[in-house]
Amino acid sequence: MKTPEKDISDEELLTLMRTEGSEAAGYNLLLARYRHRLYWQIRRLVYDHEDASDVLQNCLIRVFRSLSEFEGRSKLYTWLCRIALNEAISFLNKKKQPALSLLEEEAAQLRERLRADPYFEGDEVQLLLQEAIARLPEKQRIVFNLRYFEDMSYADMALVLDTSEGALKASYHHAVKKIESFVKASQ
Amino acid sequence: MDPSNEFREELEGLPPFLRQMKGRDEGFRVPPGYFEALPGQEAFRTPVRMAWLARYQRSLRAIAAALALLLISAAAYWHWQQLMAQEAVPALAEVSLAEIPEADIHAYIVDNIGDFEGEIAAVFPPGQLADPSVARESTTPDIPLPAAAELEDYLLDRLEDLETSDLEALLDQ
Repeated sequence: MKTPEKDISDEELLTLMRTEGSEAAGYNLLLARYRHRLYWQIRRLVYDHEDASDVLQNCLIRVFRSLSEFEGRSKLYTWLCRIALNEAISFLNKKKQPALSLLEEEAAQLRERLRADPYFEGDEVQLLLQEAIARLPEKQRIVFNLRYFEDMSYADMALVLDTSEGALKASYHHAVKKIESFVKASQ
Repeated sequence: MDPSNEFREELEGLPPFLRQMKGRDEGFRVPPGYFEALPGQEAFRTPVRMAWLARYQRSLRAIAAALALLLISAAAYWHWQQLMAQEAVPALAEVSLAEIPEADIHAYIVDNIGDFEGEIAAVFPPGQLADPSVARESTTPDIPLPAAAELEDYLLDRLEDLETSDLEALLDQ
């Protein structure tokens, strides 16, 4: 027996959401399919679970409000991802934190912050990686997260970030080099 | 290039640290059942429409609370002012009386006695004063006059005793 959540395509899901009487089913399928990926993408930028949860709620509200504006020119997840990133960046800006590139001092404090976080159980190596990522400039940090953790293609990333694939490859390359240097210097 | 080949080549080109970490758990956790407890679309759609209203309602509630507080403060202040006024009036009267010179008080009483008697006379016809004690005080007592011969003798005696200086002093007054 087919499970609708797994077998239905994004196009069919959108049709469900736009058809009178099946909107609720469509919306719930969208939520079930993408909530995890959206949450983790946000969490990697804001670190704290409560903050990530708030941003995800705002992101879903925005998605449901503007779904009628989605024209299907890009993949559904690419569009969702763009909204999630924008929400995370505005959240961090509102908190008066430098959007995505932490200051030297804040990056250095990140390990302590994560150690005290009840929803972080990483070891010292994972803490080291998080601190190295936190020290990256804003764009490199986003590119690294999308490529390294989500395996997003450069083509999709170009749509999310409105940048050329070549520029994205260069950003990822620089990010990898910086992380490598930081890890070597720390060991 | 085939995306899977691109990923494989990229992974092989990663520094050892990142190659080891690739695919490993990042260490982040969520509370148990968090994703299952995420509200469905109904919960998100309603707040979307109500978001502005809710924000507005919060402001309205704050304004109403501030107004209520202001009214209570104003009422309390007004009540306090009333109490202070009631307490202040007798004290002010006492202080004022104490500060008035005795001569002024005496002059005031003398001036107002005339007015008082005038008012009494205007309100009550003669012989019908409300308070008999007032009538008694305001009438001249009957004193028997001495006989004319007795008066003449008395005056002559007094004139004989008078000195010239006494007369001068009397005239100077």
